[in-house]
Formats: sequence, C-alpha cells, structure tokens
Amino acid sequence: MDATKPSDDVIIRFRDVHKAFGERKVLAGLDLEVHRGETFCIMGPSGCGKSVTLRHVIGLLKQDAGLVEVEGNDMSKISRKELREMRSRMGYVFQEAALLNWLTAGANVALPLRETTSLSEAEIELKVREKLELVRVPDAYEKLPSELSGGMKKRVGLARALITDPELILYDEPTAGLDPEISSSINHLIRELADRLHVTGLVVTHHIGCIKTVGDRVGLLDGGVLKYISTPAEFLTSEEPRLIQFLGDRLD
Amino acid sequence: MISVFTAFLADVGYLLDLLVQVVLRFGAIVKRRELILEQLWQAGIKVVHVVLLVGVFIGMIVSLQTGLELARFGQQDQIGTIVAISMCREMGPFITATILAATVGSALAAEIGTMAVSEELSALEVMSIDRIALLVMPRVIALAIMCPLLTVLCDAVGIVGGGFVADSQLNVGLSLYWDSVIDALQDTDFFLELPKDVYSGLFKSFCFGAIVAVISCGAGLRATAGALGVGNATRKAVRDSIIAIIIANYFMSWLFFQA
Repeated sequence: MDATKPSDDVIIRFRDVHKAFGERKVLAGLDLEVHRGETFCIMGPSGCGKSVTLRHVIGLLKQDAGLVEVEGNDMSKISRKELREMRSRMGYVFQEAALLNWLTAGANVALPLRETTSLSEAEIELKVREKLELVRVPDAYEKLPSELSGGMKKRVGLARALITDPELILYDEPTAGLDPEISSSINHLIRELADRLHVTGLVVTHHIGCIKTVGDRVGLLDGGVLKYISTPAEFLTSEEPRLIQFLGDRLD
Repeated sequence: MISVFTAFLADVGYLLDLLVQVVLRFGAIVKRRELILEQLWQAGIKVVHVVLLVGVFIGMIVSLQTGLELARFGQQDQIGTIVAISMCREMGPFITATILAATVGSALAAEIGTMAVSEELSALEVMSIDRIALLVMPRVIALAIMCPLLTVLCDAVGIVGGGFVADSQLNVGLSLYWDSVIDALQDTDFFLELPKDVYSGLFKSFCFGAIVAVISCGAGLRATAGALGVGNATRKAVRDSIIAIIIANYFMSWLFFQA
C-alpha cells in the first residue's frame, strides 16, 4: 500500500462526541474519521471547539458522552501507561509553540528524549540537530525561545513534536499570528513532512491558505458538529449557504 | 458557606496529594541536582539581603520594645535573653518564611502559572514528562533547605541588631547583653547538643520552606485564564502560604514547648 495515500485504516474515530464546559456546549455529537496517512483539516470560527477536539485525541480532555478512539483504543478506558505509550507515537504542535522559556531551543527539542528515553547525550544532540535542520532552523539550537521570532518558535515547536518520530501529528492553528509569507512556508513544511515522513495529520485552522496547501480532506466545525467534509477544492467552491457565509470574507 | 468549606477541603486535599507526590519523587534528587542548585540560588542567595535587612531591624524592635518595659522594673539586663529566645523560636523562622513567601513563593506561582496559561504544562503532559519531578520537587527541596539556612542568618543579625539597641539606647553593656544571650541558649535538650530554642526554630523553618513551595507551586499549577489567572495564582500563593505558616507555627510551637 502506498502510505502517502489515505487508506481505509482509521486512526482517529469520533462517534457522537459531546463536551460541555459548565453551561457552554462545545461539542454536540461530533463525528470524525481520520485515515492513516492523510492530513485532515478542521476549519471553524474562533472558539467553536477546534482545539477541544484536538485535546480529546491526545487525552488532555475526556468527552462527556460518545466515543473517542485513537488507533483502535477507546480513550476513555485507556490506562495511564497505555496513554503514555500512545502519546509517544503522537506529536502535538501548540498554537503558541509552548516552548519552555528557560531552556534553549535545542534543549526544548531534546526534552522528550532526555526525559523518556535512555539515549546518550551524543545521540540526542544528533537527532535534535537533524530535526532542526528538517524544519529549517538549524541556527536556533543555542537560542532561548525569547530570542526567536514567532515563525521560528513554531518551527522549533514542530521539531519538538517530530523528535520522537511520531505517526500522528496534531497541529493547533499552525499559522495563527504569522504573516502571509511565513504562514505559507509553514504550510509547505507541514505538507512536505506529510509527504516525506508519511505521518497522519490533524490540523485545526481558520486559514484558507493552510487547508489549500496542507489538507487532503477538510470539514467545518459548526455548532459542535463537523459538516461539509470534502476535499479542499470542493470545500472552497461549495454552494452551501453556511460555507459561503463562513468563507465569504476570507475568499474575497 | 458550605461551598466555601468544600472548596477549602478540596484545596487542602490537592496540596496534601501534591506533597505526597513530591516525596514519592525524592529518588530523582540526584538526577535533578542541577535544577535543585538553580532553585537554591533563586530561593536563597537572591533574597539574602532582604533577610539580613529585615532581620536586623526585627532584632532592634524587639530589643527596644521589651527593653523599655524591662527598664521600668530595672530588669534590662534580661534583654539579651528575650531577644535571643524571640528571634530563635519565633521571629527568625516566621519572618524568613514570610519573606520567602512574598518574594520566592510569589515568583514560583507566577512562573508556573504562566507556564500553565501558555500551555507549557500541557506540552509537558503530552510529551509524558513528569512535571512534578521537573518543576515542583526541585523547588520544594530548595526552599526546605534554604529556609532554615536563611533563618540562621536572620536569628544572628537580629541578635546583633538587638545588642546594638541595648548598648546604644538602653545602656546595657554589650558584654552583659552577650552573656544573657548565651545564657538563654543553654537549654540544649536531647537533639545534637543544640539549644532547643535554635533547633526547634530551624525545624519549623524547614517545614515552612516546604509549605511555601508546595502551596506556591500548587497555585501556579492550577492557574487558568490568562494574565488575570496568573495574578490570582500569585495572590493566592502568598496569602495561603502566610496563613498556613501561622497555623503550622502554632501547632509546632505547641509540640516543642507544651506537649
């Protein structure tokens, strides 16, 4: 099987997932299937529950009702040990990169290896430099996060997510707050990683440029459910009134 | 009223659990030695000057206030005893812990709170990195070590400050003052031949250091909702630390001197 093409092998499955914070319902019967090897984009307005969806995938949040399955494991029944094991095969790119500000970029990327593996310092440094090279910020190694630009931080955050060679990467607004040129370079980088490393991706975004470059499939998260799931091309040319309304300003 | 009480119980339960979690990670002390040394520097060396300044003035105040009263009964030669005992038993440990709560504890809560609201703690969790071993344990150890050491300094400069006031304002000679200080600290008891007034104070300091660190880290770990949340965590850390220090102080004093 060609791993770059989406397969029937479902890696993330949401069935009728509900989540509320106090009175505020965020997910209201969400259904989602992400296949191995594909990059799925979730679009939606701010505060619609996109990040909440991602957090369910990696076990940072638990659903109130419904089923969340990752690699066939029911996330609400998984043990801590299994969760740790599963997380070691996942990467999470945070919206603001979430680098530890007292560690250099190199030490940030090395952290998962230092803390959870028994690799030697020489092996760790080699891997860290390789990943920083891969995301095209080799010079960042010695720098503190405060000395990096927003785009560089995102890349270092991406290198950290890649350091354990994950099979699934979750991206939380990978291009938010960046100028169009840097956004575009980050989008191309994500696409390139998907093509080269054959990782599955779940991307949360509200940038059209992002879904155009990155996505194999895209859906709109609206009212707590995922609608209009299709390819980016179909999604952007759809005649659905709600999609036109949502995308209207952005397409202009 | 009931909700306030249950929130208080939940708070205490959370902090006791955090303390247990920290103790369970003592095996990693050697691995975390660099972080502990860094925290010792942050928690100790950077506040030494504050402890010295406050300590000397506390000693001077105690000396002046009690000296003036004792002078009415012609008992001012006892000033050294009173200053030494009040500094070693109560003022030194309490003032040092309060200074640590206000300076280091607030900074801990703000630092960890900022990590919480900027998703750094979530990042640690998704990378399966033990944040208690990485962030909390080194800080608790550092404060539990530093608080007694700073208390010794505070006691010493307080006694010196008291002597200065006794000599210059109350006409008690320095040698008489010093004799009564030594006399007061003769009660050695069973522990290491140390004066009980000193070691009970140092034991309290050790506990106060750990209390301030656990409460401040706990406030930071639970910070929510942006800059406002960090501000609330900092305020809560200092307030709860001081309340806990005072309550623990009473019970430990009772244990040492009453039970």
